[in-house]
Amino acid sequence: MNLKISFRVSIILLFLALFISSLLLFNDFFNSQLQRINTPFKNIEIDKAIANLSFKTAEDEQEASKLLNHFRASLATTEIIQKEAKVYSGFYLLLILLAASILFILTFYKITKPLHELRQATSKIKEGDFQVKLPETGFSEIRELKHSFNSMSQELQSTQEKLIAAEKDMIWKELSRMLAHEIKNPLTPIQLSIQRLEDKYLTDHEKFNEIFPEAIKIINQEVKNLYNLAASISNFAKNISPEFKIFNPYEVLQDIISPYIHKYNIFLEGCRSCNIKFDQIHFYQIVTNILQNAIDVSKLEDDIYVNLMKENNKLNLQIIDSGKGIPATEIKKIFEPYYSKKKKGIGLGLALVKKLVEVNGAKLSVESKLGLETKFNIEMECL
Amino acid sequence: MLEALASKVVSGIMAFGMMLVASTEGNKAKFSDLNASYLNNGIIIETKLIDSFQNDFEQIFKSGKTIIIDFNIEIKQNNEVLKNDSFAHSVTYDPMQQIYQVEIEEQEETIFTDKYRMMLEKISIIEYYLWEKVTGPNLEVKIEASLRNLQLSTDKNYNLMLLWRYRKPTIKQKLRIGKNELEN
Repeated sequence: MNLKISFRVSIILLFLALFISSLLLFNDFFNSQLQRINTPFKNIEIDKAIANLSFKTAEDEQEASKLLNHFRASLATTEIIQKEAKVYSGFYLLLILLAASILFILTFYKITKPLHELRQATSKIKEGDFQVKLPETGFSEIRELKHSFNSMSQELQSTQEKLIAAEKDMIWKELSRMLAHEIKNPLTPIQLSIQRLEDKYLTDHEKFNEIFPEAIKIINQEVKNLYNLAASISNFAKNISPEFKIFNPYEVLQDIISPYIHKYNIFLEGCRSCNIKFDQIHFYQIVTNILQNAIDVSKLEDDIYVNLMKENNKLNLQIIDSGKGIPATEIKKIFEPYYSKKKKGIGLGLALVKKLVEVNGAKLSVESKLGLETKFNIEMECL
Repeated sequence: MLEALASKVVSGIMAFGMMLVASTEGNKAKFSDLNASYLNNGIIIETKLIDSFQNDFEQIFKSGKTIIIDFNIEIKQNNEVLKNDSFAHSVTYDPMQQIYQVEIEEQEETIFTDKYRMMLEKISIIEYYLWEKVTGPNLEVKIEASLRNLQLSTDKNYNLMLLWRYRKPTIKQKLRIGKNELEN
């Protein structure tokens, strides 16, 4: 049995042990001193001594008898008083012990309770609840401490509100800038194609017929790009709940990379018989996102490795590219929404990947060696 | 009723206090098993106070004052009280003669002895005669002892029960008497 004694209980136990020991020592000393009081009288064999005396008159004998009786009664009285003193000292010590222990425990709890409250309040602040407020009661030092804490939490709340407002403002500005940029990208070729068509329709009907299919193709393509943009924003915004399914990831990976292997050097290696419990569509989205990133940063002749490494009951999916790597200062930002270094893309890909990995109970990590490689690792439970 | 309960609570606390912190040894007074036998037309019930006077009593007995031990006996048959009686044993020491005078009330006996041990033996033994006619085989006997308060050189009364840790020794025992013996 794991017996864990809290700080408060150990202090109380320590106090009780010290207090009881000192009381017992004091009581023992008191009793031993008390014991010595009438020992010398007890040792006097006065009965025999007086009985051996010869009295001249009956009155003398009567007087001696009276004195002896008085002496005996006094001795018995001191004996009983000693016993009573011992018992009452024990009784009063017990009362003192109980009263002092109760007083100590109450005072101790009065001191430590606010500390406990402070600890709980600090935990709440750690969790982000800055509205926590402690009642400013107790001893003056404790009241001051609580007051300082309340001021601090109020300050933190106000700072947090300002930060949130600033962050929201910044996000909106950044998002607006990116969306404007992303929307403008397809709009420009659409506008150019329409202008060209309009121009040729009015001036050169024959040329119009010639460029019409190509212009329509461009317009269609760019409209499709706009749809894709809207879809990726919508995907990121909605709540994702996984539909778990048990499948062989190696087989799914084979299907995913098969369209790419004719053009790129992609190598799939590792456990062929492992199974995982994962949302298969999410798995597909995660792999295609990371793989597309790897392709984007690699040259045609570069190798890309997709490995499935089994370690105990864990299965690690690694996607390793031979690109230029990610600087250490940027590696933390790559999973943030709307962070992108690509010319095309709004920075939602890896943010979505992170979200999908987490909702499926897996862990995502990334390691990068500048100028050499970047390795994405997804740790999953292996069945 | 409430008074009795309060006194029990106080004596319990005192006993606990003694046990916890006081070095007073006191005496764990108790009775030996009851013995019953037939004598003529009656029954004689015997027992003895044991471990009752070993500690702290000598100076009290030698005080020259009369030390009284009260006994109460209750005899039941088929849950009906057959007899409820009280009697006492007392000791008075004469310091000049160095003699103990022991009175055994239930036997109407007075004994003189100069031996402390002999005196203890005499006051400890109870021999109670029951002359009432016993109609059935089952008897339930309860005996309780207590020390009477003592007045010494001052006016104050001293509670000698302190020396018995504020606990009255009690024995409650069922005695089974054979049919043949009853018929006789």
